[in-house]
Amino acid sequence: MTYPPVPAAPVFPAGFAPAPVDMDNLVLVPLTFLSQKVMFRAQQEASQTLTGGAYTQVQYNTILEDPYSGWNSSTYVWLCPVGCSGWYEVTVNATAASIASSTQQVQAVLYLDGVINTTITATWAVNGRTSASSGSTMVYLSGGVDYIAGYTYAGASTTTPTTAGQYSMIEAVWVSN
Amino acid sequence: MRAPALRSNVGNTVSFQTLRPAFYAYYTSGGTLGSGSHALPLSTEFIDSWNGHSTTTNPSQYFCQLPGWYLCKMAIGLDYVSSTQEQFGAALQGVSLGSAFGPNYGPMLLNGSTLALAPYVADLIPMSVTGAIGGSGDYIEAIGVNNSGGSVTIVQNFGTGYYPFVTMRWVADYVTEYPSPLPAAPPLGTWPVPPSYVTATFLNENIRDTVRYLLSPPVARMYVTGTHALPSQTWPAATIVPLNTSSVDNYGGFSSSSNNYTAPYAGNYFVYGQINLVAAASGTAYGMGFSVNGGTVQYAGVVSKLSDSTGGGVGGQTRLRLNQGDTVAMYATQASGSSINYATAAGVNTLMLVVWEGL
Repeated sequence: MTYPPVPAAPVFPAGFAPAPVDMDNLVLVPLTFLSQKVMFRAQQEASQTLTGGAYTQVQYNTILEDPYSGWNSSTYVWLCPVGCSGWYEVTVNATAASIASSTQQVQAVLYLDGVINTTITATWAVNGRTSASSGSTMVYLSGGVDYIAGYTYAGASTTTPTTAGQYSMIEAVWVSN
Repeated sequence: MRAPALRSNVGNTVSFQTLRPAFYAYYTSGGTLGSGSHALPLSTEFIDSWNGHSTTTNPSQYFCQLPGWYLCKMAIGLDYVSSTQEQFGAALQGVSLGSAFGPNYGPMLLNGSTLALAPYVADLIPMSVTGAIGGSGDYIEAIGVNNSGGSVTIVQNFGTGYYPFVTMRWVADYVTEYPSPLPAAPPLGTWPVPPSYVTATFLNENIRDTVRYLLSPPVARMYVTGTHALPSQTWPAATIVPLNTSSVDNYGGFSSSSNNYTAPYAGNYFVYGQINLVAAASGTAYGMGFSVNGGTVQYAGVVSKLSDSTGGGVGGQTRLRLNQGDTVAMYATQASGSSINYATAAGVNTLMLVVWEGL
């Protein structure tokens, strides 16, 4: 009841006296989904090696919210909840501790079902402090089938930052059928 | 209460809210971006739920099929690999509310990294004049900006996962006169037991106000006007960005004196920010992020740059869970050794967007 699936448009039959449970199903449940939508937010607070010149799956260790329980803490992927298919907007913030080079880049990358889907950003990495590169894209996810993961591409080896305010993050929200 | 009224008010709301105008397309034609600003014909659609775009007629433009505020984003990879730093960007332009607008630039990215980078832009743009594709109605067009003086190859493939892409989403109704009082965020819980006779008050509180709120949830676009400077400071210290003007703030959350936005209702908010600074004769890093209630700044964009004569910037985005009354502000940092003014050239904006997305 608290976290309903994507609603179909309710059909109100004429000529019957609705009980509260009917109004729950016809009005409250659909409007509850549309008021909440599906939301997932996580961040990586631990130090994780980012291999230079490679795509590293970020092992987000702090789940800020995941009411539909899509996160898998073993495989570090978020599975679209059953009943919640649709277009999602996914935001990835790829952060990397100081990269010891002034000619490197950081990319925030979205993987879908284990395959690279979109390089959302590519920005100039910073030598001597944390780099941060964030952006968002849209992706269609089938409930119970498709899963996403956030990846960071760092041009040279480094780690994910462990300082508050510099964490790598991922967020997903349902936006449309 | 008759069934047709419920179908009209609830059934249609659910139908609309589950399929609001959304557009997502790629540019897949390859080639180069010549010097200057050029529209991108979007040749591959993934979703265009209200048919505002054509891959053959005015393919760089998305036409208004429903009045509203549209959250628009674009990224374009440019394969500029020289160590001589040049300036690149992404922008949005078109016709809004019947008048030409833009280009509205994203953060102007400086690149002397020797690697391909991807400028990007996001903005919250109103459209009210509907019309056919290619007609005289409102539209939004994605622009690639190349100020290097020469042609640059458009990146088609960062590790098999990248084309220049554009997303546009209807996020709120475009209205010039809001309900008074503004509807509150919908409550969650079970359907309350109605009175013996279902009254208008009961239905208004439990249906109408929710429908109204979802049609026009809190959105805001705040930007900097006038001359202001970003001081040099030691990383990771940052200074609040002096946002002092808004072009939309339907729930009155923006404070031009405190330069922040107060959440009118609890929920998840999409937040985007970008800064643009004038030329600075020192290499440094530009950074920006967001602070909730004055707490630690969570950085969303930190990029490198060399000494420049063109101006440059950085942007980023996140989603924040805010309680009612929480404030969110954008902060920026640079460590060049001297203050750097925010850019004031037309369309080269320093701005923050806020969009309520759910409870």
